[in-house]
Amino acid sequence: MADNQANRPHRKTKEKKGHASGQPNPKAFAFSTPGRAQRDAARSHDVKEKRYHVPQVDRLPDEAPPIIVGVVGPQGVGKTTLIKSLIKRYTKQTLSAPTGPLTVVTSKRRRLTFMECPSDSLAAMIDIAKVVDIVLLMIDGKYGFEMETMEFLNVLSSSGMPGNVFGILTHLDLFKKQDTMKMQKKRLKHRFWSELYQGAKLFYLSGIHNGRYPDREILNLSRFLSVMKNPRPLVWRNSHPYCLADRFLDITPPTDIEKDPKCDRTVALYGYLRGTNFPAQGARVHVPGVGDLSVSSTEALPDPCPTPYAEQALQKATGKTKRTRLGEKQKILFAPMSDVGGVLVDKDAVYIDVKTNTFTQDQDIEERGLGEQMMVSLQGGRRLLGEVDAGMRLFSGGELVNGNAADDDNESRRKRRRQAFDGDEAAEADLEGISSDEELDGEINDDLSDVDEDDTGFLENNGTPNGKPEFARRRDVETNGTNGTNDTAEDVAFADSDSDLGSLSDQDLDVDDLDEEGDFDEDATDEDEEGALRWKSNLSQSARKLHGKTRPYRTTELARLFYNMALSPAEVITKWRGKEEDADEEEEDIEADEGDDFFTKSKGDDGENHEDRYIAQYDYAALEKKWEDEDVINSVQSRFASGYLAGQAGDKDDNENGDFEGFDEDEAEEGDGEFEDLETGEKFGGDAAKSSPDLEANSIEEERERNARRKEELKLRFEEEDKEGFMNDKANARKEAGQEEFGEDDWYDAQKSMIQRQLDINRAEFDQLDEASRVRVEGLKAGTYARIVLEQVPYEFCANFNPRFPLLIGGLSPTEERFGYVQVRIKRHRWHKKILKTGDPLIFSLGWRRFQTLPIYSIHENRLRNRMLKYTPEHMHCTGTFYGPLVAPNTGFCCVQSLSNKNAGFRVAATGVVLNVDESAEIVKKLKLTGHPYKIFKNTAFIKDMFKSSLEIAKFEGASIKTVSGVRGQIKRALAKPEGNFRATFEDKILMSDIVFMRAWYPIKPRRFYNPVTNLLEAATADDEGESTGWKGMRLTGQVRHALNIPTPSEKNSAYRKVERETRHFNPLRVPRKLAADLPFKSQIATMKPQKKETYMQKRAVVSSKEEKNARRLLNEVMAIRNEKVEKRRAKQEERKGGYRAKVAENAEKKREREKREKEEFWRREGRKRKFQSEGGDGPGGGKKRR
Amino acid sequence: MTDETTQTLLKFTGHRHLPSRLLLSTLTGRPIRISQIRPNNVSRQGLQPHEVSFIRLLDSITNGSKIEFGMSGSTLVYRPGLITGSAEGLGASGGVLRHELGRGCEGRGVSWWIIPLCILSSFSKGHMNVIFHGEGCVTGAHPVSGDLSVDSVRTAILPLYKQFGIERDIELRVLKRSCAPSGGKSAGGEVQIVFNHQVRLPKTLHLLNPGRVKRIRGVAYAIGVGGSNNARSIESARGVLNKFVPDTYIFSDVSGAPFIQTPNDKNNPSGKKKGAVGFGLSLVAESSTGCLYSADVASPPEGGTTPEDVGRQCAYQLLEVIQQGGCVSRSAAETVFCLMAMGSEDVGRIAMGRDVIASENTIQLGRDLREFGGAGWGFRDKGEGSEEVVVSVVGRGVGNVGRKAV
Repeated sequence: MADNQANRPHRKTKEKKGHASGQPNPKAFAFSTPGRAQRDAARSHDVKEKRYHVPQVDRLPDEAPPIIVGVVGPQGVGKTTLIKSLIKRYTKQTLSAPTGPLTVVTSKRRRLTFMECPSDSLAAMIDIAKVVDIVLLMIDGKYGFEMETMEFLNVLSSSGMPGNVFGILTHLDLFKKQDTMKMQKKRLKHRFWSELYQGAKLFYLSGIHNGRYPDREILNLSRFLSVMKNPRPLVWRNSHPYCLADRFLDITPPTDIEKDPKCDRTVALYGYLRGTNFPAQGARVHVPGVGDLSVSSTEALPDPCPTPYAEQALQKATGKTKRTRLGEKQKILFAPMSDVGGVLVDKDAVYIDVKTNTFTQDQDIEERGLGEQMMVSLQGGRRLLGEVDAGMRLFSGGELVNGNAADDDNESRRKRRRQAFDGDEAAEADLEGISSDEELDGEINDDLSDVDEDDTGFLENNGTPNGKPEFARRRDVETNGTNGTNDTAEDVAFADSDSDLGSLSDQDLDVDDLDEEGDFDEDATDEDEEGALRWKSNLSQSARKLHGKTRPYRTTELARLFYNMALSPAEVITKWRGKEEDADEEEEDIEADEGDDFFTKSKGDDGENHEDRYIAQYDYAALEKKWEDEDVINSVQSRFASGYLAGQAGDKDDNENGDFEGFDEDEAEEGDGEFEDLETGEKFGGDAAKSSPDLEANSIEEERERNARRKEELKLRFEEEDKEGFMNDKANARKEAGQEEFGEDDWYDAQKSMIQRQLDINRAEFDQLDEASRVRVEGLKAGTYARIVLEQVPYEFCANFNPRFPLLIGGLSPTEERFGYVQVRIKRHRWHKKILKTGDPLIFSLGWRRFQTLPIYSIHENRLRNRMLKYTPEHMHCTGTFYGPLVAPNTGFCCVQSLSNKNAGFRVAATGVVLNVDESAEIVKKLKLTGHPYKIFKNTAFIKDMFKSSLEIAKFEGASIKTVSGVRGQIKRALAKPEGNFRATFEDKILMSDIVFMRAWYPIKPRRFYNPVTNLLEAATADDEGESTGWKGMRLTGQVRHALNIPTPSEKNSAYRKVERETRHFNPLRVPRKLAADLPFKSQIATMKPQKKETYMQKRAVVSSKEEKNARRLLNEVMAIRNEKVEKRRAKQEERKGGYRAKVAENAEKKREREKREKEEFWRREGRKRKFQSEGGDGPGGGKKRR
Repeated sequence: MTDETTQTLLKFTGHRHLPSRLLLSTLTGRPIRISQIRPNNVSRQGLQPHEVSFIRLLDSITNGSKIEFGMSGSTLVYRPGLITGSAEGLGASGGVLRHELGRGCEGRGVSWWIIPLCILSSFSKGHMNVIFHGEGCVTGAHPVSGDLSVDSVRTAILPLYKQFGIERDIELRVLKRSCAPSGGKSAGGEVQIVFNHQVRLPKTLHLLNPGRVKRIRGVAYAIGVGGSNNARSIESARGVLNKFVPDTYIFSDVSGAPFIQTPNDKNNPSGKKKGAVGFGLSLVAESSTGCLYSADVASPPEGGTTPEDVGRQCAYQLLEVIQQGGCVSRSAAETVFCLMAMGSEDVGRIAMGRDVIASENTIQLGRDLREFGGAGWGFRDKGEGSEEVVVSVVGRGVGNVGRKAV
């Protein structure tokens, strides 16, 4: 039947008018409502704005340090296997036990440092989280997430979260069924995403082959690592220098250790510098797990693991090409703490593994591992010791040590020095400037004593490239120099004797000059001529020449003198000015000295009486003479806006020679302003008369020249006044400072360009400095491989050193060395089981440091006070205050209660951020004092039991008090007797039963307890089962009692007692009769008069018998039944009556309507009738009137 | 366990550069010990009243400072606290700190206190509002000790802060003028410094172009002497300077000698006496790039100088300072270098005249800065035949640690 049922066919749909095929539907992209357009625009703007982040300075240098890849995960998850696999992938080497940081070159410009994070140490996890750039988070796929993973992620986020966290699922081969594995993967992936962000990358490693993960999967992983962008810099790392040490060396002198095995050690740590530049000297660092240490020296070492790019750059610089492409051999692995390259650095020994048993010296040295190379070079040194005096190198890059003779030593030094001279600047000599001056002098003397030896021909063998022995040349110069001095008296800066040379710099200069020009003879003759000229020309000119000469005021020399602590500032000044020579001249020509200065030292300047001055002392008489001098005035004119502009453009000499007089006159003719008038009046009074005839005599050409000059001047002046002109100082200054013009919306771009420009300036500026000042100013750049020597390290560090744990060196800024109260915003971690108690020890990881301290929790009330809390709130932030290092506000931190592995729960107790640091803390505790009235007057009452002495009361006079019922009052005065009672007034009369209380605030100070977590100093003992360290912090009182089995003391007063509350009896209100009489009627108290007559019932006493009772009860029952019946009947009747009532109502309605109708009809008729009547007469109005 | 929380003391000797050392100590938080402060001077052994007064000022604007003196006053240990400003409760009332410079402080001008205080103020936690008053408060230039007048501080030092991004609510008011007294007299000036712009880190400074001097301003002040003195010194100063700068304008300020309360003086029943009288001139030259050069000359306390001499000397001094060149003058070098060293870890550059660099104060400041953990300075020639030296200073990012996070 269903088959032949035919539904009615649909009506054929209309053909829709389609849009052009291939084009999107235009309607789909139109705005349907006018509001929609606006909303869309706003949204697209929002999306655009969201892309922006606060512009941050990226201080990553050109040659960036290796990226630190931390491999983190719980025990037995495959961390070591992953590192082995990755190392195999990158370097084709197989490691048996990788420990410590392993650095590999992965591409042309990138290196990676792998570091395994030990799972049994929370402290190590915290340390790793502070420095890691990429995190490989290993997760056991079969088991799922473990507590360590979650803890690490939380620690990481509190230290700033470097953004690159890759999850890696392992142990996937343990799944028997594909489906369950898929389910687990999906489950874990989503859990991972919710922990990090949607779409966080998760890798799967399917199993182990040959002790490694499958090559394909590792290759994929390594590709991911290689394409990763540089992470956004974190604020903390961007403002502190730090280093992950990959090599550890105890360099304490063995004699000291022999004397006292537990003496403080000197330790050298090696590693790539990161973050900001490492200060060159006197840095203070914190090594987490050890403590605050001072660095005695930091020195840059050649990169042990250079990138091919850096090598190429080096080759280009040195001109030596070694290799053109990246061979297998260059895939370098640097891991001094592991057994790489045949070297295993153990705690107290170095093992070198020689691979072959057929060992020959002459093999290709590149083939050998690091250890072998070291061995061979050492052995080589011993073999060659007797034969060749090339010297042995004790340290790599150190001096050649030779037992031969002192002169050899001298020679080597000389060679070193000459190298420095060959450079364009005396860089090496600058380095020497750091050491004391005496040493330098001594060195010079040494050198000069060598000069004598020169004549014996000893040095003849070591010919210099010029064919002349170096020292012979040097001596030539000197003799020339001294000759020159003899000839021209005090012309040159050379002194007669060597000891007068004072500083090495003068000598450097000579050799400098010599090296540059080569023919020193000419130089000397030049100087001679100059000297001769000097006497001929006028005095001021010669003074200027002396001034203009580069010999005094050499900037490179200043750089050296400035930090030479052997010289006092005054000596530096005189040396730099070259005052010693001037001293003689002063008698001859005072004029010459004028340009120099007018600082005359006060008499009796023994230092004691000398005070600092802001304004230098001047000899005003000399000054007056100087500023009368035309030449001086002209020379300084270029410093004034009204002076010649052409002079600024370059040829100052023109101005100084004063052949510009005519120009000034021209300006005067123009009538440019009062200044010119004045000037001619004062200055050119005589000149004008003299020059006017000259002017007339001038040829046309001269005039043309003058016109051209004037035109030029006017042009320059225009440029200066023009906003965009190249002479406009303000515009130029703006351009130099990098303040480009940016539009209103380009703020972001402007900021970024400013940051970039500053970075460019930094680089350019450092490049301009010579090497010594560069290191002094800049410190050691990030990316340098450096050796950091730490002084006074506790010996336990060396004794318990374990390369498994990361070793950080974190630089401290000056304020971080100070201690005070740190105020933080803190929140208990929601996964931590318990809330935290005020005053309980808590381990903070703040900045580089990890320390235990006693925080006090508080909450900000009414913006008035910090009220102490006994416990942290459950789900809310609160303020915490503790004693610790002053760390800049906005730094994040995390807290743990103990680092012990025994704690099965989630160990991160709280996280937060630093708000404020101070030297005092203002936290108050609520204190309620209660008392009782013992005598009450009208509004005054005497209160007892609140205070103990009148002194206390005196302190609280005027304080507000309150009764429990809410009557407010004030403390007035202590009563003389009994002690501790006082008089108070209230706004109303209080009751004797009221309790009076006073709210007070008691200030609380956090305890000054700071206990650094020195977990690297204590090895785990037998007691600490499963712990990585023997360090134990301060315990809670409860823990101590539990451990020592001490019962908790209970004070009697602290125990809860049963509260006894007696029932209160309230008297009735009695209104006095007189008052009642006076009350208005409305308020009259209506009281019934008591009934005097007794009622019937009162009169009788009813005594009923049992029968009567039964009868009464029966009657009651019957009546109850009847009542029930009656009630039912009434209800029924009411129901019945309902219809009738409705009918009646209807009838009434009808009746009303009828009556209304009839009424209307009647009145209509009546009206017509009346109308008719009135029409029948005269009309209604008139007729009526008449009537 | 060694006490990790106390830092080792930096050790210095001698009484010189005391304010700048205390200043650097307060800024960086390093405790210092200064010994051998005038150890052998019989009449003036140890710290002098003005130095004690400066330390007291530091104590009242910081929180948690610890100061210990040796028995003879020739040794000082200073452990700085955090700079809190003129906050309520710590010696200040109503947000204003009144610092009295008593007798014995008249050996230095009040600018000796104000200049370091301003540097500290920019790194303070709260606002700074200090009134200096008392018998030793000399507002004019000090001819003996060589301190600036407050007018020069106002017109030549305070505008420098603008270059570091510190520019709002900075004011120096001279409430009562005074000048350096001779023996037995008192000064009795009153100056208020309001410094309400605090920063986390000052901006990095690049000041390489000194520009050309385009205008000269100045203040001539006469205290307790006739106003004609001002006119005379202005006249003579203009006579010298008009050759160079037509745009010269010098204000004249005439005020009576301040009254000093002497309630315990038996001879003086009214309880008041007049302060020292004198006159002086402060000149400031401004270049087209905003660099400032200042000169200050005041009549010596014993008198005997004509106003014309003062005017001329001041003008010559100004010319001398201008000739030294560079973007800052010697008196402002301390301020500029301190602020540069506190800035972010970038290179700041400044062109300096050779004679500005080659002053003992500057050299010692550079050395002290390095002692306190700052970077060394780099020097190079400005080039193009210029006689100026470009000093590059890398900030250490110390800045203002006490500043609250917002």
